[in-house]
Amino acid sequence: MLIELISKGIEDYGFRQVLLWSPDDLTSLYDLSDAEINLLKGSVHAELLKLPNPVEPEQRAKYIQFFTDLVS
Amino acid sequence: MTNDNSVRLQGKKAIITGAGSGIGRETSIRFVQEGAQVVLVDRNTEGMKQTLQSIQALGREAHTIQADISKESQIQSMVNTAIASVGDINILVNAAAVLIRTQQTHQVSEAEWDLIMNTNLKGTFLCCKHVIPSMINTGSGSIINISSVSGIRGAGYSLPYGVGKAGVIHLTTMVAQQYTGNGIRVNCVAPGLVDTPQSRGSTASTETFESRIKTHPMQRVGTPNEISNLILFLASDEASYISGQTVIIDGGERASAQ
Repeated sequence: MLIELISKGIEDYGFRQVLLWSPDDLTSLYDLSDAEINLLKGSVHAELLKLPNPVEPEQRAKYIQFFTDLVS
Repeated sequence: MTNDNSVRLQGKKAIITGAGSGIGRETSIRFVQEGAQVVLVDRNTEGMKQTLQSIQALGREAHTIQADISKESQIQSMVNTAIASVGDINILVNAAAVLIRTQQTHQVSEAEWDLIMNTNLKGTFLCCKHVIPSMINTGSGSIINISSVSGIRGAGYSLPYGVGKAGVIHLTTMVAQQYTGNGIRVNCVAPGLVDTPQSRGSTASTETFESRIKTHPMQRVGTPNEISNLILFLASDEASYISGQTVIIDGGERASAQ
């Protein structure tokens, strides 16, 4: 589930803001584990801040792979 | 367009939500230039820091408060802190919002609906609710809610965003009906496409964003500064007989579509 949410955040700036600044809201809405929330608040947060805006369609697969490696 | 000698908000104290980027950031800077004491509010601490740096580069200062406007406890605390810092509030600009692209209605998830509505509509309501008592104390105030043409027309990237922004327009009408008699003017600004990080990041690609420019009657999109000009006017005493209104600012796009 976490990588699905991150992928949505890569594609969509608005959802990325939720991932970045309201991760606790996602706990109940998406049934994330404590470990996943901690990842969101830690290494994932730092890397999401570095994303370009927008992430162009041709760049998305690269970033999804990067975050998949980061959280696995 | 700015005038360094103008002080249209001299002595005013303003809370601006969504101050960390886009229209909220530009409005914050503009208000400070016009003499207001400004409290910047955003959940995005990084963005808020950049706004504050822009204000400090002008030789001015502002207060910053991190708050998620969808949480009543945080809004209550934010307003109390703001009042303790600057005194009673004269101006509230509800610029915080989130746009999450969604698919058609039958494919919108409950989570997407809640995330958007809780910030865009409930958050605007909560900020009004907790700031209004301070304005009643002083016998005057100006609230400017930021809606969108998405709250008026039937098209857009997101059903809950459009519905929420329509709600902001009606919230404005009802709050104006209830509090104009207390000296509190309540108005709404409904921008069309504006060049903000949210607008660019919510469009499928840069190519798609720029394609919208080609079909715009002005062959361009609006700037946050242009929106802040209107917000400034509505916040100022120049708009002293305007309350309960929603002003569309879209460079003539909606008129051209009619």
